[in-house]
Amino acid sequence: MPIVAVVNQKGGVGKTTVTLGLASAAAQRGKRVLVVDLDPQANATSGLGVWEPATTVDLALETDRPGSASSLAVPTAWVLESGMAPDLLASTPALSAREPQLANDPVGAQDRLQLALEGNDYDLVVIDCPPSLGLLTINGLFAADRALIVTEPGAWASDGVANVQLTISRIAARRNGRPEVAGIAVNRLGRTRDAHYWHTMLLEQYGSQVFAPVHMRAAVAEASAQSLPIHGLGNRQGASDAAQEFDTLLDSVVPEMTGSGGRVVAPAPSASTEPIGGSDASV
Amino acid sequence: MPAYDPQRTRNRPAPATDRPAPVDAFLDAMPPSRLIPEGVDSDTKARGDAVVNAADTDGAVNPIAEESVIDAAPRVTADVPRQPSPPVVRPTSDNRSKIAIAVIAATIALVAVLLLRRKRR
Repeated sequence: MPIVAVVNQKGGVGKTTVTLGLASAAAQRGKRVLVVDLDPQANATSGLGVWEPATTVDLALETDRPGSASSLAVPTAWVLESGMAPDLLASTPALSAREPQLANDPVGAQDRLQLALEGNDYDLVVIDCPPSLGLLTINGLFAADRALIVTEPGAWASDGVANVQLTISRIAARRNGRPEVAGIAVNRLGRTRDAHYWHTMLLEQYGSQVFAPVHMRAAVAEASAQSLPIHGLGNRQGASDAAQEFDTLLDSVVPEMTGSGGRVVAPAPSASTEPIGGSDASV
Repeated sequence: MPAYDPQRTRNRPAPATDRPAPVDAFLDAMPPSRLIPEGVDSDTKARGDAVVNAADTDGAVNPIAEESVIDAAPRVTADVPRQPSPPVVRPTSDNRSKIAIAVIAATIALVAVLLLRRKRR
């Protein structure tokens, strides 16, 4: 069962957008998906239509609770054509108080999420990591078998790719190669010359590690604001293009899911009259 | 990038890979029972003790010992009540003084009996 950590120590690059896009694409294919929201901002939680959850990921991190993820997960409000909706290990702002406790745990608390995910029967687990390097992010990376680095085409975000690659390599060196870097997702690619420049720089520097980009579209931001899956926006202009890009990204990150049964192929891209760059799609 | 090059005056430095990274501070502070280094086989006993086989390491574990047992007993879920440990009787200073008094009394009694026998002879 693939466990993907969506990560970048740099904030505002769209980790949550990509997490939800991947979850939407996998659920649309009829897969059982668990989203783990490790960010105390809880944007993935609200993006999945969950407010005031009965249980949160904080309980899984409080102490060693092997195999507790399935019982702590809550259903989400998403509705997809496949009839499948992701489950969620929800976050709350109170999760920010857990991090210093994890850091001061004398026994070591870096693998509590890994223990909680033991034995679960989901087809895919996607972990939305917080935008900082701490015990929450380290728990996400310890639990994952692969890491997806999310960036946007910009100077500071490109710096963040190198930093998070170093972080992952140092952890993998002590963990028998886990997690491996699945690749780099370039999010919110717009039409400015600066975006084009930094996208080209990423391609030159990281080559085949850079996946096909997710373009900046107002539909993605609207899906987040309405707590809807990008595959469930109907005929909203740009939604099908965005859904197709997340389908492609899922194929790249989790190739073992490619061509699996139940997949709903998104319609062909329409002529681009979509206002690109009109809104901030990052969550 | 002939027309637009925001790095033409200064290229952005990459993070040094031969120096400690920020994450190393977290990893160095972690106990070895939860961070098994590469190349070390680890087994887990039913009680939860992790056994690190020193023969498979590159000198990371003290080679004098055949095997090092790392106590991982704290890995118990909060939902499972801990088994109460059996009571252990340990000598206290109070017990020790009572034993000493008894020994001294027995010795005095023995000496007194011996002296009485000598006098009778």
